[in-house]
Amino acid sequence: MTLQADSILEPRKFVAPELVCGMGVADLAGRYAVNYGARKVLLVSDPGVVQKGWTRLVEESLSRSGIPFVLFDGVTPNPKDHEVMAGAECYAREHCDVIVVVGGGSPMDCAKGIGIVGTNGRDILTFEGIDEVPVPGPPLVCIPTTAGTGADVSQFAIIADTARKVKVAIVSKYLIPDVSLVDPKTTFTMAPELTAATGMDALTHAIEAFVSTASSPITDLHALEAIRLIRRSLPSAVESPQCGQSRSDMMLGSLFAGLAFSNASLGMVHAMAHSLGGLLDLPHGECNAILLEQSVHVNFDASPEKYRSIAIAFGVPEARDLDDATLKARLIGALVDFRERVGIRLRLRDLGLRREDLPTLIRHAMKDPCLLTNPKPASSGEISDCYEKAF
Amino acid sequence: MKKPSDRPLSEESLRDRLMGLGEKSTRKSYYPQLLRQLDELERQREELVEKNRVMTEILLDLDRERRRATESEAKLSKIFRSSSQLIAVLTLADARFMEISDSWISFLGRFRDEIIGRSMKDLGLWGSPGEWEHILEGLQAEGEIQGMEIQLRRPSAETFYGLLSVTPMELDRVQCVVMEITDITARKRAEEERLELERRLLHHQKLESLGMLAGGIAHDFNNLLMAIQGNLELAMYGSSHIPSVEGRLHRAIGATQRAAELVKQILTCSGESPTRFAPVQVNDLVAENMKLLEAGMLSNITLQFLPDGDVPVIRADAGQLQQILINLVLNGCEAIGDAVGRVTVSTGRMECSDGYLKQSRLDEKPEAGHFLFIEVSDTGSGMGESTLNRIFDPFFTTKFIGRGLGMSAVLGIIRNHRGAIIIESARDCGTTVRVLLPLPRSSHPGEASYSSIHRHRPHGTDDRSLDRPRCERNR
Repeated sequence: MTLQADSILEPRKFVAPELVCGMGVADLAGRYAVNYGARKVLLVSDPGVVQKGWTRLVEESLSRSGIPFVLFDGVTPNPKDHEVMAGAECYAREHCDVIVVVGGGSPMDCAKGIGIVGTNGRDILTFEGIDEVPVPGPPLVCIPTTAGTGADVSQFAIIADTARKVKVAIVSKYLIPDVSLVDPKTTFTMAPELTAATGMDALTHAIEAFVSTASSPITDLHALEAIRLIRRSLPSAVESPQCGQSRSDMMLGSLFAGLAFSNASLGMVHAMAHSLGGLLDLPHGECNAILLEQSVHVNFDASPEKYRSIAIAFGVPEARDLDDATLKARLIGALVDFRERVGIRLRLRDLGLRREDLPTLIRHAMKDPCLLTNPKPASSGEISDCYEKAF
Repeated sequence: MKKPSDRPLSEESLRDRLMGLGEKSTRKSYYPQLLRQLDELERQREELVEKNRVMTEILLDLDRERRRATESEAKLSKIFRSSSQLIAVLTLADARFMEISDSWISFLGRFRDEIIGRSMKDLGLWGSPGEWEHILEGLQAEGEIQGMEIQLRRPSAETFYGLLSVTPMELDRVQCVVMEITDITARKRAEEERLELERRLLHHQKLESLGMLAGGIAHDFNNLLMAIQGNLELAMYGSSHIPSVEGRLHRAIGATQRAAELVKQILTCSGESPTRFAPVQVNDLVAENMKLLEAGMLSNITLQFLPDGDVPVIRADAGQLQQILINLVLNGCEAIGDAVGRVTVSTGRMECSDGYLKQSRLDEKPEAGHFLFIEVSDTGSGMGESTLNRIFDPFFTTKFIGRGLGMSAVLGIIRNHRGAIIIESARDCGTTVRVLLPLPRSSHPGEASYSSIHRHRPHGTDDRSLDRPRCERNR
């Protein structure tokens, strides 16, 4: 199932939303709502974003365009099934017909869920799987306020099944937003910790998409460019939150990483992170950051040339000339250094993981669709090993 | 991973889907959904058009049915209404009219509105009470009634004979019956008339044979009497010197004379005695006889004569008129018996209509016109219907010692004079017998004199005489 670099071009697809990037483009929310024929907008956000004032910014834009709206901000990190259903209830009750979401990955995944529940009238958990959504949701306008989740361009929505304590992956081209207003301005208010976590999430997206067995030349371009941008800008964005250059680069890096993983999918890091998020509600970005270096240990040998390209993009010295084993060690070292430099030094146990949770985590991770495109079929032993090392 | 479809998917196909190469891995688009909805709308529209077409057809059918039903109903209604039979729909419970044929309107002489909703009883139609209950019993037993003979009362109180058929039905959720009555009154009347004729023929034949028998005997008897009388008279001449013999012979001759009178009477009632017509002044004749009658009258009875001064002379047999008078007065006295009473004889002239003359006890009715009357009324016991019907039969008598020939002879005399006799009587209310003798046209006084009408009311005539048909008496 591995993809050879010199193989002939295999069938691949690339799907992306309409993209508008640049400072201040969040103000276009009202115009897009009008263009989509909105009569009433469901505005999805979360309390943190509301508090930062970005929700207000979008509200004003909608009001300027004369579009009525209703705000739904009952969303928490790792969005829960009942939050989606509550939002869908609000959507139906208020007779909304367009959804605008402003916030990070959680509100955006929640908004995607609300959309398909709104048009299909079914419980959100029944859409679990790939291409299991019969009818697309209403027009969806995304205004990301973090640089990293990629949810504003992806076909994924990860919803927590609170009964089973697992994260459910809903994968469908219908989940891809209609337009994404990528405005770096909205990321200026991010705290350094959040900047770091979302940035490391974006880096993980880029690396996993690049080594994914479903990668394509188009996704590779985005993935490698994302790696370069993130490596260059994340530390300064963490250290200097008001640095416009860094924030803009990170926004682009996150966007490219998103385009890459949305079309090429991910790998074992996300499978394991979803399991952690579902069981223990751990922050997604940090889990990814901690597990990323472990995945290189497992996957390097399945695709050494891909990892060499990553190393080059990541600025590992002499990466073109090193032998595989040295390169692997150098790359892992560089990733560890980078993680620690942006301030993520915790182990999984520091986040609240207990050793007895491991068997459950492994079982859930082994069922995650992200494993389908891992460079090599990961065994439960290897998964277990990764968790152990990150513990 | 949980699959909505139970069939587990291979990793290969899941991976294809993830890469966007699955069958359903299309970009978000509302177009297919829109087309499906448009198709659905079109399908619904076609369905509606079809339903509309079907509905229209149903409506047209219904309309046609309705019109046909209306026509058929109108036709049936017309047949029902225009039937010459008396047809009606009645409520079962109380024989209340719900629907009627037009024949009822003319039968009852009322408007339809006055009949519908009222019962047979309300309208006084039943000939006898309990008739409906009787019909209901029949219905209960037979399910329906066919050709039952009934009597109804017309509003004019005339009896109506009908053949009744009754069939149960339900109308507007009310238990009803269809009643059909065929008018058989005419048939019934004809039958009655036939019976009456038969009865009269029989009576006539009886009289005839009796008359022939009596007449035959009377003739022979008369001849024998003449022989006895002649020989007795001859014997008288030859024995004039023997007083004892002479007296006996004289009594024997008297007895033969009385026997001859009796024979004459028999001959009169059998219509065989010759009538000698001569001018008679009736008032004089009555007055003369009143004296004789008064002499033999018992003291408990008052005899009264109320003559009308304008009674003309008529041609009649005076002896026979006398016989009538004596018979009637004696009968009146006998009806009074031992009680205190009065017998009144009155005379006069009157104009009689056919209707009045129909009451005459003679089969041969005279033509309408002017009549002289001799009326004898008493305050006696009167007669019942059965006695009245037989008083003219020969040898019929209510008296212990009567011969039963008086009234029979009266009838014979009046027949010979082409007159009429009218009797009004009822038990305990007395009897009035009026003998009418026709006046020739020439004896009629000027027509103008009829305009002054004087009703002569003799004493002792009760008010029933007012109920008599028009009868005018001239002064």
